[in-house]
Amino acid sequence: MSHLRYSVKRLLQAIPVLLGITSITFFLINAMPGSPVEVMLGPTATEEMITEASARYGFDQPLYVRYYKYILAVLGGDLGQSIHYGVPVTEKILERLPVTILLLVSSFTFAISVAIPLGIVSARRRNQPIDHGSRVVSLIGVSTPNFWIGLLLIIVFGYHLQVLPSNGLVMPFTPISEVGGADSRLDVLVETGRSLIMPTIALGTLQMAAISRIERSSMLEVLGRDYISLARAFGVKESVITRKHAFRNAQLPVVTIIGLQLTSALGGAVLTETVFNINGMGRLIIQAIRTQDYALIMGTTLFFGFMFVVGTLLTDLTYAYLDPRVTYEGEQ
Amino acid sequence: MPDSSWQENRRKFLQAAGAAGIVGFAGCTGGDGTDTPTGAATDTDGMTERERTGGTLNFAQTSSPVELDPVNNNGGNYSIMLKNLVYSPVLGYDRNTNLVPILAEEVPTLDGNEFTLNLDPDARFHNGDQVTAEDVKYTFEATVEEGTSYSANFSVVDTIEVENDTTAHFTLTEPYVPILHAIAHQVVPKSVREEDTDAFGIDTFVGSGPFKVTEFEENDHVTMEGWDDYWGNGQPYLDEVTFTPINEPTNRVTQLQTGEQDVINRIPPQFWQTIQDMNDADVVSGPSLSYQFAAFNQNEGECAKRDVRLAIDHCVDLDQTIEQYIKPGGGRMYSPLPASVANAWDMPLDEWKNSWSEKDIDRAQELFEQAGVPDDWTCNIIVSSTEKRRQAAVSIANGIKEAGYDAQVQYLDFATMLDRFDSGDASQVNIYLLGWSRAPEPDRFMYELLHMDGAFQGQYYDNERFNELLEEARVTTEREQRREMYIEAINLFVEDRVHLPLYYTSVSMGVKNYVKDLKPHPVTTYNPYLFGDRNNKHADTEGSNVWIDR
Repeated sequence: MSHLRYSVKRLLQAIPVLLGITSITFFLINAMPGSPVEVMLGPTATEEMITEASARYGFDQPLYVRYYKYILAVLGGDLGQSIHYGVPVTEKILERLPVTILLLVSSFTFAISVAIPLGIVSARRRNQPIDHGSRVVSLIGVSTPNFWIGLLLIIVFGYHLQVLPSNGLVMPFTPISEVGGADSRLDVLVETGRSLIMPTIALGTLQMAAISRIERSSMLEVLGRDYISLARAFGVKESVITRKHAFRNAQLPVVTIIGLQLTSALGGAVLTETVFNINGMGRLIIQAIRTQDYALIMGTTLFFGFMFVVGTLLTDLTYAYLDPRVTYEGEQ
Repeated sequence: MPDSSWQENRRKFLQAAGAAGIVGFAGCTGGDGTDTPTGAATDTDGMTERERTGGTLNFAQTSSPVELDPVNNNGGNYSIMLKNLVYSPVLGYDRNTNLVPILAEEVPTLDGNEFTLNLDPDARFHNGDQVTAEDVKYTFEATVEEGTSYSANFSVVDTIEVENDTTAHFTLTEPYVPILHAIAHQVVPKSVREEDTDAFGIDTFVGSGPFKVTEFEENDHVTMEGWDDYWGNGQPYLDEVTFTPINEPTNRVTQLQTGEQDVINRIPPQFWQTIQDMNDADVVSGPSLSYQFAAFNQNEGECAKRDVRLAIDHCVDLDQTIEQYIKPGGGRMYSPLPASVANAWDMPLDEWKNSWSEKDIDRAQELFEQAGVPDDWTCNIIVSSTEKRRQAAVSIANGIKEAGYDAQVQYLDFATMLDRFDSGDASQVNIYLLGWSRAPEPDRFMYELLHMDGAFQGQYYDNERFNELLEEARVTTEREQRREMYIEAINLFVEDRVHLPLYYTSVSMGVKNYVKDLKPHPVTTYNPYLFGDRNNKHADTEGSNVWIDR
């Protein structure tokens, strides 16, 4: 089966998954105590006001009717209207999405580019000081919550050293006039880089730590195999063995963990965006939950579910690229 | 859009005035109108208007406004704070929480269930149009027609008759003295808002306040410029103010330290010292109109018994709790009335202060036994997710446990809290902790919160005399009579331990020293008090006009 056919099939399989996510989220948020109308109107709202507003937003209809209407709307590409913002949910997601994507890409780039060399070096220098150091760094990275790393970075580099901005994220396409002190696009890009450093480290450290440990153990396993011993016996240089014979074969578990880390990174983005005051999807979700904005909660959850499905699919396809022996549906 | 030629002319005038040594107008040179504000308010003797004029103030809020339309109330206080700078209200509050006219010529006098409102004929919107009685009528009626959360404030208004451009006659469905506080509300231009209701407050901002919105990007920033053509007395010194929402307090404090923000709002207690240790900044603070309380569910369950409520009062050392967890961000309360309201009404605060019990576990145990509380009783305490309230809830629970009973504290999100606090179901709630902030008028802190028909009551304190007093007080126009009624009602409240009044929260801001004349206002949403009392020409109160001395 070609990769394309496989991809299409996997995307089709994602439909029941997304339907499941939609259904579970819909019924769970409706089971929550309180109502978005009461939050919107405030504590002094009278019964009449609540009834009138409930009718206006359709909350007076039976749950199954609302569910049916919602599913139909979603199938038509309409994620509904945010009560809190008074705009379509899709508009709000599209507004915030580029910010979170930039943050995720940046943090994964950081995590992978640090973790893979660190894992390889640790494997090659097993039980030597550099391996111990790497282990300590990884343990700290795995066990420290990313918001805490963020706060520490702010205190050190923002408060005391005052070398990095701690607030917001300058997007690369922000108009030059809106970025303080910027005279050219290059200046804007420099500001983008500066504003990304701390959130990237805060969000990417967990990924970096997890990937580096997997990289290390996977490399150790591959380096201990017979064909590597044979290569050594033939006098092949250690650097060549690592680069040409071991590295690619050791990446399958790493790809798996990178795919899975996407979910935790999306969760981490919520906290990172809050700490650094970045207007991405994470803060949008927080706001949606605080205000019980049903449509926005549904829309963002559905979108995150979709992102996860795509992430898993990409992981599977990367498998096939890395190891041609990986089969799809029994075909070689 | 700003009129640049006008601005240029004003600059030239101010430069000339400065050169001639004209000193800033009265009301801008310090002084202190609040009870106990502390901090960086700086005397500015010797500075000319020219020297004070100009500059951009960067202000960090904790959350972003959602919209800036006074008819709506999305975004809560974070929106209202900004609306108060852009839209003038009919009436406002001075620093002593007295009602003062802003768009009105004078504070109207209630005659039974009627009153006449006279507007200042000079009042203008940013687009140059006169603020008319039709605009006032439209604004108040729109809140009701559009079903916004402000509609409850105006539900008692039967008709508003526009007599001419500057006069409107209000008829109420019943006599209701606090209506004057309801009309302390900002006015929108009918013609502009009606043109595109959805865009108003999001893309279109036409008010009559001293600042004009030039940019609004939700969750990013709001930029305002001082309105040089302000119709009241004087104009703001500040050229521009930028509001940035920064939710995380560490981040806010860092931004103050680096100078990216000149003022940051809401300082958590743990950061006060950090700011005070900065060489170039200080904390400015003062009490706000807030009332944080622990209410007893008297509908059913053990807390319906007065002895149990008295016992719980004996279980906890509130002074210590507040010293440990609330100060310097607030202080102890002894009645539902904030100190500024109580002082303005000359209430017997000392008497109420002495009526609450000292911690005495032995006495608490006696009272519990006397009330016949079973040994296996568990007190259910619910609290929303505010850190200070949580600490207070834990202190109360610990006290009850010390007396030999179990107590569970449940942390709920605000929506769940709203759903549960007034259930009256003792299996879900015996005590709930909430906060309340309203206009500086006793009715606003008493009726909705404590009367059996109050919209925010959940304690079910069904005392006939108490309810009667609150009903009578809101229809009695004679202030002294009202005062006596409230004193009697609060005496009953204290005797019966309807609530445990806990603490007020402070208005607190971290302020760079070069920001001058910024003082806290007890009405939380009046802060930052950049152009105090709007320097309005009718009120005989001290104003303020914040400026930057770089």
